[in-house]
Amino acid sequence: MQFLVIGLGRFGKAVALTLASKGHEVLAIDKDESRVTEVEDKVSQALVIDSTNEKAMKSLGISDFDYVIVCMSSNMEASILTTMIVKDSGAKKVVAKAGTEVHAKILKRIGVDKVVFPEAEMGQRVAESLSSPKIFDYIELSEDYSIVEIVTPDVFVGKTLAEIDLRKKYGLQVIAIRRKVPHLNEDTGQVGYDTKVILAPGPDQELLKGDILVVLGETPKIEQFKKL
Amino acid sequence: MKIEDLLEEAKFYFVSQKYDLAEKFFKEVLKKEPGNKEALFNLALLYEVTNQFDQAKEYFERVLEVDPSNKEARDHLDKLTEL
Repeated sequence: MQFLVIGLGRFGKAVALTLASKGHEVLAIDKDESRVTEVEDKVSQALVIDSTNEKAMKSLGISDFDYVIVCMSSNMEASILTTMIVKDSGAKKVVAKAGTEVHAKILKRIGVDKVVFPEAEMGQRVAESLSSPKIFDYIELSEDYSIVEIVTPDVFVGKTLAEIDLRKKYGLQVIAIRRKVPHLNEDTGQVGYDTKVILAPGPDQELLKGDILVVLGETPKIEQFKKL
Repeated sequence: MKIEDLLEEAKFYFVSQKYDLAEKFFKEVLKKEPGNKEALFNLALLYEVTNQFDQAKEYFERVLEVDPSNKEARDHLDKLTEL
């Protein structure tokens, strides 16, 4: 796929480099030359362009990209202007980063396909994980449903999913199990480990100490489960 | 039991995912030889595998106390601190 990443601050740089590492074609632009230099060897093309310059932007052939990602959020005016220019230039899909609620609202109004709010989302995840040390990650799917990654409570270790029957007792669905599996390196005699993901685990799956359960369910029921 | 035998036994239980037994044998080694690097490292790794990160960090730090240039322990510790 082809991506245009606009704004190469910490967020934009991470987006551009991750997409490039996954084999996508990435054009990364920023008005700051030093930021462009930092990524130019790692993406398909990197250019010094002021994204609020309509003429320069239109010369990029914006409608050829599958996604345009507007990553600057500290300068709300530039972010909005850039978004309007890329929309006007026929961008197929636009993802934009918002810095504040008002910024997010405006981006939605001008027709952005997806607004991302990394600070707020990350803040929520960190707070969730700190408030319960057993929680590794937290994704709110809607107001009612969430997915959490939680360390298997000790009371469940050695039991099968059928025995603990989370669906019946808590209305929760275990959608995957992340497990670290130790192995012995025959040459060095050292123990190492690999991380294995068991997707859609069956009822006979036994839980081991340290297993991370990826659980989907209604948020209040997840809250109950966290207290175990 | 000799230290080498205890370590063998502990590692066998570790890779068999019998973590409680493995922990017990690694700790036996440390009772006999508190600075045993292999036992300290493996115990740290066991705690990492079982997601007991505070203990894992403590034991990787102990590895670095006896072997400050141990790169593997340093890498694990850095990774755990980022979590």
